[in-house]
Amino acid sequence: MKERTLLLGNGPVASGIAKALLSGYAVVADTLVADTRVSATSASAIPVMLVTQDTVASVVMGDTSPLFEVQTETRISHCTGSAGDFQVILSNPFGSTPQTFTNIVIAEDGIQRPLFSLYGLSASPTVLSLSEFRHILDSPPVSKHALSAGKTAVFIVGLAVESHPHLVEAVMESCLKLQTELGMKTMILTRNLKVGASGLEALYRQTREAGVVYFKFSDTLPTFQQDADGKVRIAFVDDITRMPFTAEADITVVDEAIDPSPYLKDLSRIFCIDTDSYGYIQSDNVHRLSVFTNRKGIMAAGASRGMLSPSTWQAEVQETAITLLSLTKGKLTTPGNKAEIHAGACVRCLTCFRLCPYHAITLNTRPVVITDACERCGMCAAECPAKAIRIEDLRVQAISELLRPIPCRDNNDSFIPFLVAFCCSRSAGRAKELAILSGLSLPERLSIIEVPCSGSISAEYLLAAFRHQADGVLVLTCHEGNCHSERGNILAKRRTAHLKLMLKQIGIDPNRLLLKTLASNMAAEFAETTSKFEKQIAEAGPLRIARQG
Amino acid sequence: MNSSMKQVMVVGGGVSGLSAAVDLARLGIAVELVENSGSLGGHAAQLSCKATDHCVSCGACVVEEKIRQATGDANIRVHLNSSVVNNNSNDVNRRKRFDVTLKQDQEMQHIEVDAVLIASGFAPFHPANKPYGYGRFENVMTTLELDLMLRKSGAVKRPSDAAFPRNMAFIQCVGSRDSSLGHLWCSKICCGAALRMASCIQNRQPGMKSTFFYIDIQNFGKNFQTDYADMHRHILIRSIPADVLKTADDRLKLSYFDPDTQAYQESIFDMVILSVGLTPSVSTRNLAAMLNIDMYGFAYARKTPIPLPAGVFAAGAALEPMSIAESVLSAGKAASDIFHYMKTS
Repeated sequence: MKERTLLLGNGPVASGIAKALLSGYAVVADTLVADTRVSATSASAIPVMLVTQDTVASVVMGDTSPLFEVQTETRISHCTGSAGDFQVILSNPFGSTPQTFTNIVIAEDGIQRPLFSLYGLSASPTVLSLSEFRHILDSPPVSKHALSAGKTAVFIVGLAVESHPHLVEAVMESCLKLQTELGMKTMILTRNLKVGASGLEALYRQTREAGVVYFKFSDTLPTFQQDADGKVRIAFVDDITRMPFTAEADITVVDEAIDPSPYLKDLSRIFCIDTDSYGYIQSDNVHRLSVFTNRKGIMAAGASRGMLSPSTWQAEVQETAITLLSLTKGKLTTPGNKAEIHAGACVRCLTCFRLCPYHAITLNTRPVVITDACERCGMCAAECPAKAIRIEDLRVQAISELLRPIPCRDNNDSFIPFLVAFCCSRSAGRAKELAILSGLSLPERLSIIEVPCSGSISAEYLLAAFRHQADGVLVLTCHEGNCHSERGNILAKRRTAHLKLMLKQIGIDPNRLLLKTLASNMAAEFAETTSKFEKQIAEAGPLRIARQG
Repeated sequence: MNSSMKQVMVVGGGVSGLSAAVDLARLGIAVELVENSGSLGGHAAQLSCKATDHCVSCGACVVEEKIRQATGDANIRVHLNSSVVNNNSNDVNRRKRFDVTLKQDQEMQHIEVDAVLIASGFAPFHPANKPYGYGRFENVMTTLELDLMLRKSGAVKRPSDAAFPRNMAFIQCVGSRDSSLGHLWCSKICCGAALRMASCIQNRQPGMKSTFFYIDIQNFGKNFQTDYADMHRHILIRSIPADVLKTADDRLKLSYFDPDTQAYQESIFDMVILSVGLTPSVSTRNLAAMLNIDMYGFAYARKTPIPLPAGVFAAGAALEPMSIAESVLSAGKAASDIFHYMKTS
């Protein structure tokens, strides 16, 4: 299929990505400026369709090219398929059209919400949101009647809710301009001054020297009274001197919260993408750095990804471009055996379809695995009630073959337990490797089975370990929130808890099965956990199960 | 790696260098990855996981994945214990080439590359001259030393007597936001690192209390607002202590101006942790000199970094203080810039 990217958004990030693709993935550094015209300059240009709900597209072509299409007043209503072949239904007031794309990039702008009400203020010609005020300040001539020498402007930033360096920078720059160019007096009321971005501490010093007055609050907050004359009277107790202060603002500028676009909620549902706790379309999982989502071939950038500073948007545009290129070159495909569904055994319960974190299972007359999208987490195989799904090298028989009991080193009389540890290869598997490299001592008879994700560790695996003479079995997963498959570790935890109950019923001490979470850099904890478990099982003695025939 | 491929030398095997190397290799560019220590991973490979009962997205484990990817990639050649000692750039057929001399142990090696990426990271601020007893009192440590202790032993104990601390003080902004040092920058990562660390220790060693001495709590991570709500389980004091002294019973006494009581206060702690800031590394300065870049490392206090000569790029904390997540992003941008440069030069 010919390559074509679906780009959702209508702002600077979307335009930057359009430019990057139309120039054949090569972005000229720092092009993310107000100029939103794009042109297909390169012979290796990648076709892009930009889709926005807005009536007017702000991203326009510098020249006409069939490689760049724009659909305005259009929403996404449905999506099937996977990376390389997404089938998307676009809906607009004139109807719906199906389209196919190789990749999808979500770059919807955020929404700035002025926080007037949190301070008991309401918008007026002299009480403005930060964006409105910046707009007035940037549009010449700036000497509006309220902005004249001797007048006082008060800026509220990060008082009721924590602010962001990007907003603090805008406030400091505005104050500097008012102080030095317009001869005004400025005051900044804040809680934690967010200077954690390029050059902001230096800018802060500059504003102090220019005469900007800062009041920082810890546990008390100022009160505001908005009068009919447009002035705001402010009363507070200064945090440093503990003295009461009053101030009168001719102009009051109120900061804003940056919210995710409400459209992201729909997109998350349609594309089956996990969001973070704010609703941004990228879960708070380090495996998604920088622009990945849980769906291969669907990326998130800018204010769709999180409440991050526009200063990183250029980098995000470029990262998105090279990630798309790597995807196209097949560099991001997971090697190895993939899930297979045995059509005869499948009862179409759709457990796999609902469970797959990568949405690598599609529905025809029955569930079908999209091989390229499958990441081998094995969650479907472990959860399938009909046992109709398998990943060749993760079959219980294949795992069982790895479960050979380790003989004791010498014939002393003390009991050394045989332990089996099922390890998530991304976390505990790496911790084990580091533990060995660091020369930490591990249990003598520890057999380690690495699996791509702990989501594949089924009750059958655990029982197989006991059947192969394990005296104790460990399930070592990554921490909650760190699972590459989002929920593999949670499923493993649930199954382990369930199996513990079953063990108890069949007369096996449930403490012979232990689940722990570890990160890839926790070598010391890997050694400690396994050694402690060895000691515990040594004390409990060998496991004797009445084995049939 | 084949000879027709374009080649890049990446200096620095930390998060940014590894990440850029992996990105470049995927784009079909050969990478000579030069690391001056004996192992890959940089500072991040010395950090401990800060998870409580769940992952707090500190990103420290990201580097383990990057090491795995980089060492398994045929397009990346790793040079450990190596440093760049000389560079001659010349134009061959109107194409700029860097003829680089690498020193590995006592041996010299020449490599020719089309571009250079500076990913030589940061140096932690050395707090010996601050009045906090660092280097004199065993139980005063930097955040990085605390990380290493937790990573290596899985527990935090007082270096002087191996006892579990009952309370700890974290002093923020040591070497950052400090005009007396000329450090007019916020190091960005320390608030998050210290707060996550305190919660992590409290989770592992219940009953341990942490007190933070701070100027402003800075944003960290994607879920900052949620984390911010969580930090109130620690004691937060908006004041930077004047000094740290050792008591007769081997504890540490901090004196500070308490904004609540408007008076000088003294508090006793079992351990004092200094949140040391980030400063430009010596390798960055040396490379800058070799590549004729003026004062490059001092982009730390600037809004925009100094423009670099053709074929030279930079990423990560060599540029300015950056978190692990930001370094990964910065590396992606650099890889994209290099890819573009290779296509057009």
